[in-house]
Amino acid sequence: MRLSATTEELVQVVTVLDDRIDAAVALEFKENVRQITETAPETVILDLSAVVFIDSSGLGAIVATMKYLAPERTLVLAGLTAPVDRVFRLTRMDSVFSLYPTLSHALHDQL
Amino acid sequence: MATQNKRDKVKQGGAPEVVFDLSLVGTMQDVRDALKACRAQLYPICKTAQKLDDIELVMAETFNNIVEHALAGQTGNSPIHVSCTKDGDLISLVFRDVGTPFANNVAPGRGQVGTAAHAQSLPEGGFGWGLIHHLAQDISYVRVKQHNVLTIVIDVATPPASVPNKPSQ
Repeated sequence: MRLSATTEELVQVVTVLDDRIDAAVALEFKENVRQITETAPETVILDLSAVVFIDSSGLGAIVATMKYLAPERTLVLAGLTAPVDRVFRLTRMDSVFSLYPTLSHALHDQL
Repeated sequence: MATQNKRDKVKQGGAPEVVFDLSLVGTMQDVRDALKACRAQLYPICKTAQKLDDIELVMAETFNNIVEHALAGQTGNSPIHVSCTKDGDLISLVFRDVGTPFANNVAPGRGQVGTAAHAQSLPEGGFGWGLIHHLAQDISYVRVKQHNVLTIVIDVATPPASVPNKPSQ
């Protein structure tokens, strides 16, 4: 599970470079995001624009990440492709997370 | 209602057409490979990309459940067999494995779908069966000679299932 991160003042952007967050990589994803966000500022934007498939294990890993970062830091999700957006809506997780269609929308709102 | 819908959608006369038939060993990497192969076979019969995504999600959740629960603790590479037939607008996905049966020989219900008021009490799992139930027309399970046989029926022609209504604020 490959990730990259950039930090600017109060926002860290973590970009998922792989195209699937599924049961095969859910644990690794969770661990890698924890490491990369260890010194993150108060807002972490997870850029999912490269991800075209997520299953319930991947969703669970994102929920776990959000819980790990809380309460000091907030996890925001950006760049949801249609299949990823659908899983969040079908499970009603769209009412739990702040979802943005693109990274620039998320940055505009957070900065 | 589902039964009526199913009857209307089944093509009159003729045997169901085989879409694919494959076996895999129960590892997560094999599940990925199988999903890719199945998606390619399903592509020509799905009317929309969203329907194809929905079927892939249902198959992924079912495979994951078999690998993580039915086959958990089994030594060696236990096989999973999946077949897909098409009858009119309905496809039947039949999953067979030699793992542990469901509790009370009944497939799980919808499980965890919904929201929690506080972030820290949000569940980190249990969404899988809710997704399967939401996206499938029919789900049936039988235990046959030490095999689990789970059949999931999906309508490839109707518009994709709508998302649940948000609870009122």
